[in-house]
Amino acid sequence: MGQPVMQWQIVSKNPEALTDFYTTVFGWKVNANNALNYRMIDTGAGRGINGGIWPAPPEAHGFVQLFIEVDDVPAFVKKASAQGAKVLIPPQKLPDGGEMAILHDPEGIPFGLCKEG
Amino acid sequence: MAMALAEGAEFRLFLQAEIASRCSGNPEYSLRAFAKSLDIDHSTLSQLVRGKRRMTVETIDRLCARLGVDEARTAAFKSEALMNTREIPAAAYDAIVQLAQDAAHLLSEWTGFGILELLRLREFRPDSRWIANVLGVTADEVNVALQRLLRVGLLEMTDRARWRDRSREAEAAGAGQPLATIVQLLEQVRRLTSVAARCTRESGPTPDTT
Repeated sequence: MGQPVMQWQIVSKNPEALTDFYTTVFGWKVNANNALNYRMIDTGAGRGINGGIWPAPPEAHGFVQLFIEVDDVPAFVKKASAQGAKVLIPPQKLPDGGEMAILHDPEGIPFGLCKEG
Repeated sequence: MAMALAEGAEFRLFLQAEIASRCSGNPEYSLRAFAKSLDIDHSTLSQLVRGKRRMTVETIDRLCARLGVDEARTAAFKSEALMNTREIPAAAYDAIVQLAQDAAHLLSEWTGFGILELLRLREFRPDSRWIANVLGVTADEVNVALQRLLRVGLLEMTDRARWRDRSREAEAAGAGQPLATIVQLLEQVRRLTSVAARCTRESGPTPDTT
């Protein structure tokens, strides 16, 4: 089994305004009806990958990160750490199901690991 | 590439002060005489005092014994040297800064405390919108605080229906209420950021990521 990139995530200092921007310009659909009020984005294209928008803390810059789906989040956190990644958020069980963790790769670029619930 | 920090700075300053003290009492006194009294090569001592040679804990042990430094102070010198000789991988630098920022924001913003307090309620719901309604803030503000709590390890989403307040574990271990736990955390990161700041000064404003 491969580990596909399943989702992109825009971490934004002004998520509401940015959501309006992308939905207006590209016609993307947003659905935040979930426990974390996570703005899930459906591009509606039927190909490519969908994503989401999440709030950035005020001291951070906005950025985009990728989520890689794995079958065992803690195992891949351990594997990535052994190769130089740093754990930013250890594995968490999400309220709507699934699991995720956030890491910095050896160059300091943040990425996520996820597993469907 | 890891960034090496200045080593043994505190004991080095102690040695400098000791030499200055001896010289002030005896104008003929020299570094060479000081080295002889310590049973150490004078060029080696010179390099140690100027920070050109690594100050190992073994060296500190030996010189402290010769100087009659008590055990507690010797241990403090060695602890400082160990802290200073620790290398900070460039990739860890951002994580240290992030941790310091999170701890500082958790202290200055009350949303994080509010979430931890709500976790103690039987009615608690692991739902950002429910938390936002109770605390009177936006769901985005809740989510920013949630990220901070997760990053500093004060909160853990253990399953889809339950979040674990890890500040209570620290409380049980004697750290006190969430505020005290975060203050303790901040004290820990203060030391780390102090090292990181020295690391920055020595390496320039941008961490070496090569």
